[in-house]
Amino acid sequence: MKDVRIEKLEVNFGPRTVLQEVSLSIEKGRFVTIVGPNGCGKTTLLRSITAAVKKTGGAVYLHGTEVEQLAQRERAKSLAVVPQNTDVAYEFSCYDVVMMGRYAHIKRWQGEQIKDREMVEVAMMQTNVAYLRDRKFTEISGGERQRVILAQALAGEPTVVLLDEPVSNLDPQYQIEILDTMKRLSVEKKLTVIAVLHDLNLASMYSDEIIMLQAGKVVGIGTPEVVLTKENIERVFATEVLVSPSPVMNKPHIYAKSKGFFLDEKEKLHLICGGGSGTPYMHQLFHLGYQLSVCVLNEGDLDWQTLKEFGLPMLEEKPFAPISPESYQAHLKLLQAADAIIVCPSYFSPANLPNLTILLEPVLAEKKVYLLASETSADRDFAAGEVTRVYQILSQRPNCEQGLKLW
Amino acid sequence: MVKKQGFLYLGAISLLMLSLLLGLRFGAVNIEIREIWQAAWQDGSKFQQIFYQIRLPRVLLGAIMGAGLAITGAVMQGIFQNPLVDSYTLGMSSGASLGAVLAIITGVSSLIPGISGLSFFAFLGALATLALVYALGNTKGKLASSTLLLAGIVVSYFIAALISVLMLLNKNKIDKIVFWNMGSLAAANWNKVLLAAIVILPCSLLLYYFWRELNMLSFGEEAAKNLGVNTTKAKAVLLVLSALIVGTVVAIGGTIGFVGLIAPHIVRYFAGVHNKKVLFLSAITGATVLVLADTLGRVLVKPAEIPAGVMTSVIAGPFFIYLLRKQKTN
Repeated sequence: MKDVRIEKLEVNFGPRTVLQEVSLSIEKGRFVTIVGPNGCGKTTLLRSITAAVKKTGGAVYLHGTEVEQLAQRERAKSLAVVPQNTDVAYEFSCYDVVMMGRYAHIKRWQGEQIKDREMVEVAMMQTNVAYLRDRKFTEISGGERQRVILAQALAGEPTVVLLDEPVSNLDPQYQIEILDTMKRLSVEKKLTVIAVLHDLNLASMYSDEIIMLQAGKVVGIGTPEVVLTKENIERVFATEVLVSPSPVMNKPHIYAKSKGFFLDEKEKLHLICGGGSGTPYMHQLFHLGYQLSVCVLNEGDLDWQTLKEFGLPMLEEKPFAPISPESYQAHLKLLQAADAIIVCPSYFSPANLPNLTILLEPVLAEKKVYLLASETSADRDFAAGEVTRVYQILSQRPNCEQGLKLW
Repeated sequence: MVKKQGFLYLGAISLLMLSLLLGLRFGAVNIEIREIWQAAWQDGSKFQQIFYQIRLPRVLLGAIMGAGLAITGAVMQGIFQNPLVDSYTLGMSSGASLGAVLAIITGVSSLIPGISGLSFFAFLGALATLALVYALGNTKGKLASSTLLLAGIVVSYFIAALISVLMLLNKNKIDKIVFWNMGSLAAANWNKVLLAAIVILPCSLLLYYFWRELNMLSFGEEAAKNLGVNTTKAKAVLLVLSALIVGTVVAIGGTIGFVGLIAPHIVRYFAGVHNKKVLFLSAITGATVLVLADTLGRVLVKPAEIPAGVMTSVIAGPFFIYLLRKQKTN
């Protein structure tokens, strides 16, 4: 039997449709994460599992019984909820707060039994908050507070735990600590974890399964590798990203791309680079809003790759091929169009030397030139002194400057 | 920890005992402690009549009513998550008065004779007013703290005006009606003590056993629901029990304000926010406060009396303003 099964769920808030045609089922012991942009219905989906929102169609089953049919107390025995924030103005001790998690098991006239106290101790050990038992809930840190609330959820011996952005307001070390705990419980105790996470990378790291929502509809369901693709994320979140396996867990890692920090376009800059020497400057200058053009590069070159990621126009040659006369002419045109030229500290051989010597063309004599790290030019000269010679000529021009101040 | 808690309970109960003793000791006639002892245990003591027929029922009634009002106040503050509410500020006491007055004027109170009939109608009045205030204070499903309080005050004024009009229209019953606007324990007798004990004590005990729910409600309604509390049912039970207590108090002693407001605050200051302690100690403290207020009212302007309801308002008015300002700065 599935722990949670949702069939054609539909939720409307007034005239607005929040969820439509949501169908999914979650097996015991799985760590499932719901992702999607703000307002896509993630929290509503979670709250419909606790019957906190009124559905307009479909059904939600918990262990085979429709949640709305379950008495509050019965549901609480198998389902626990950890909210994003627990703002409380009252100074309960942390022990009292965790004991509240036993409410559904405590009979009014009997009070707490030994078992209840034991489960509270166990839960506090599990989330590592035993040392907080007599401290006031209002006087501990946000990370501690969230761990106490997690202990409260676990004290009720639930089979399913719902987490609504449980780590959004926490420092990184607490985010990891809480998610590690949940993952461990899902593996060791077969606890079913259903979380809403804002951070796609955390979702990728911890989830067995990811449910992607867009405008109230499920648009992706499956392992992180299947759902968290560049295409899916760019479509659903309407932003450009780079996805590559994380060096930490070999799960998809999502890098957000900036669209540039500044709206107004600045001067045109031309970079003479190669072998990765231009990459850091390209990143910085692009985000500062400069229009960039770059010299002739061989396919597969590090700078060539960066250029490709930015989607900038490029002049390319096959790997190790020399610069053809056509490329040389095209390069000259780019140089003439530029407002200034930046010479990056790259290595030169006879193959790419024309990228440098082109600066001696008479038509470029008036161009502003910035020479970066010119003092090491001899070390980077694999073209029989040509590089040093060109640097010397350039540095004697009145419109040439050493170094570049970006900010 | 345990020692400190035990000390709190012991201290509160000792204070109550002391206040009861003061209530027995002072009044129109001062009775020495030794004479109280004699009046209680020896036949033929000259103060026996005063002790058994006047003083003892009066302090007992004050204690029971004070306890009921205070535990109701603590419960209301828990349900509405608002430190400024009690049966008085929410208009329940006024509503109970109106219920009783209407019953007297229309004559329906004679259907159920005696004080218990009146308290039934007072209960209905309290419940109806609470429903009205709740509806007025509730905007789009949200119960804002200030709106609720304003609704309570507006409804209280409205009801006070209504009662004034009823007094003008029924001059022959005016002396019966005026009593409701000024809560007093002067008319205490054993019948009233009995009724108060039968209704208020069991209701208070039931309220006390909801301390868990009240604790959890302070985390918000949804969190409480998620933990398994049937909040709708719990609130309904708590409010009906509260209305029963308030109705009975008003039917017996008229409108006595602010006891339900200040007692829980005094308790929280010393004992923290855990409702298991707050509810129990509020009842004890409320009893102490009302008995002391009544005793003070008897002593201050001897041989006349200041009604207990006036005394509590005089004492608690400034306190209420202090709480309001404190809440503002938070």
